[in-house]
Amino acid sequence: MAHISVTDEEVKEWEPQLQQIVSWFNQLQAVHVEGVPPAVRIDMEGENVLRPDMPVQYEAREAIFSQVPETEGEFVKVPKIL
Amino acid sequence: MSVAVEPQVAFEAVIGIECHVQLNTQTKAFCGCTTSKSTANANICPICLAHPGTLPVLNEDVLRKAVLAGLALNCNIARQSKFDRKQYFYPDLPKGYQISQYDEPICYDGRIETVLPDGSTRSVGITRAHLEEDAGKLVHSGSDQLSGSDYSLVDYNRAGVPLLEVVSDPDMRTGAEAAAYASELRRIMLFMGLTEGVMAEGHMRFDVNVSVREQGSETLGTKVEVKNMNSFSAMQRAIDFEIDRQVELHKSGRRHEIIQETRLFDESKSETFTMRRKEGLADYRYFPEPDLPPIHVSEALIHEVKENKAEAPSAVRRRYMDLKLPVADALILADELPVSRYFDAVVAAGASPKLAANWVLGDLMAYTKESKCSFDDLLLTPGSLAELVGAIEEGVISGKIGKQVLPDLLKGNGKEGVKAYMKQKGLIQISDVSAIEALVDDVLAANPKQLQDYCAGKVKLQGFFVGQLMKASKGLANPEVLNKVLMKKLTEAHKAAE
Repeated sequence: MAHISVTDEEVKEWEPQLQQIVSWFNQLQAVHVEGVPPAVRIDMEGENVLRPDMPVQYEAREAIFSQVPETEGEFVKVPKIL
Repeated sequence: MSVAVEPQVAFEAVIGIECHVQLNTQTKAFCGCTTSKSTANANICPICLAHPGTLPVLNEDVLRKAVLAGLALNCNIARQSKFDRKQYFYPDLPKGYQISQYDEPICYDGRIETVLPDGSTRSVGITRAHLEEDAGKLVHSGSDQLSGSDYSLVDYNRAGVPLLEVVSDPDMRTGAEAAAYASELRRIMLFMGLTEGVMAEGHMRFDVNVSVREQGSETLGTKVEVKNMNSFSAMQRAIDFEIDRQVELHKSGRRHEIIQETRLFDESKSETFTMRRKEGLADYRYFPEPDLPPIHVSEALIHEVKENKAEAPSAVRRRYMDLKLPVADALILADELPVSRYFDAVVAAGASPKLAANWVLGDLMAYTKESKCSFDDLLLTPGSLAELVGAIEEGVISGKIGKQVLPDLLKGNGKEGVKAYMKQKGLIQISDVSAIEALVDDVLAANPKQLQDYCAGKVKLQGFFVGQLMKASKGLANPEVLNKVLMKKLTEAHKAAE
């Protein structure tokens, strides 16, 4: 987020909007949730959601690989590790 | 007068092992990318690369294999568990988090029986076994890591491949016990068909935690993690080195120098060295994976997996001991699945277990080692070996001839039946008494001088006659029958000469 550059006009426009969002969170925090189970996802009742173990070749592999900033041959190039 | 003796403080090591087992599914844990070997970054898709808007879906075979592993490790199977995100930042992790299981592992509270080289057993507890996904593989550019290149290369083919992380209780005390646990864990996973199990390929990766304390103490010492052991013998040496190092620091009053760290094993020097210091417990900011619903394990699935579960290696060992095989033989026969499967098939085809074991552990094992093949690849079928063993037992061929013809059979000859092949090659042992009597008569008639000397008391000449007879029969005379007939004829000749 720190990398996003914004103009002075945008700051002017967005500042009250962001304030508003923060105040919505304040409203959420005011709610008493003791004893309420956390809802991390839309729970499915009972049945598992599974996929058969059958290989499927992703067809646009070249398209996603071309988005890699730096490559060497078929490898993705990253800053030195270790 | 009594002499004051410095009390010798005894130390004991406490060892726990974490093992990442790569499950041998066709596809990755949460997407349809193949897990088979390919060129770098061929097996990638928006799901395993964590592109926005994608949704992981659990592979049904991963779930089944986790349940099977849990049952094989005598674990409880959680009827409901969930996935969590483990956050850390590293270039081999495309998502910036790993899908893992934090506080609700699918398997927990298990126990396995391990066996030491002398045949004694130890029981080791399994704390938990949980599912997670593998990271990509870092390939360091250039042949030498230290050559000063300023970048690394990543292959994401492995990213998203299913892993089962098996965590043991800290029940082991020596390097040998740890190695026995690790090899039994591998055996179980292989016998159950859950992994390819090739250590050099990273199909099973072991991290060992070692600490040392005064014997009798209940508190645990500072634990050190040891990685980078490529074989069970390396693991044993690494742990024994690490125990000695820590005990030495305790004894010399420098126990504060034992710090929480990760050490690597240097195989050529047989010692461990510091890789990185652990600054407290890493904060992975675990939270429930919102993209995956909870996992339910039904009674029907557990029942189905139980019904189809293969025999555990410990059960195979017990079965072999019940066959009255020596402990050492039972351990080797049950060490690897192809060997055990082959041996079982030979016995099932009617061979006596002891004789079958001798052939399998002797000539056949030597042959597979020499030609670097598996028992699964042998051209000599278990049925043919059983026929060969039976033929020797019945005296149709001699053991010596059996060994002579084995290389031929290993090349795939004799498929139409071992006995038929022997007959065709003229290798059938002569056990017929009248045929041998005729042979003996011929040999005695051809050597009148020696027969005369024998009758005059040179009884040692019996060996000479045996040699002549074997030569005359091209080694095919049944030695037992031959000896009996020869003795009878010689005694008769002796009596006649008196």
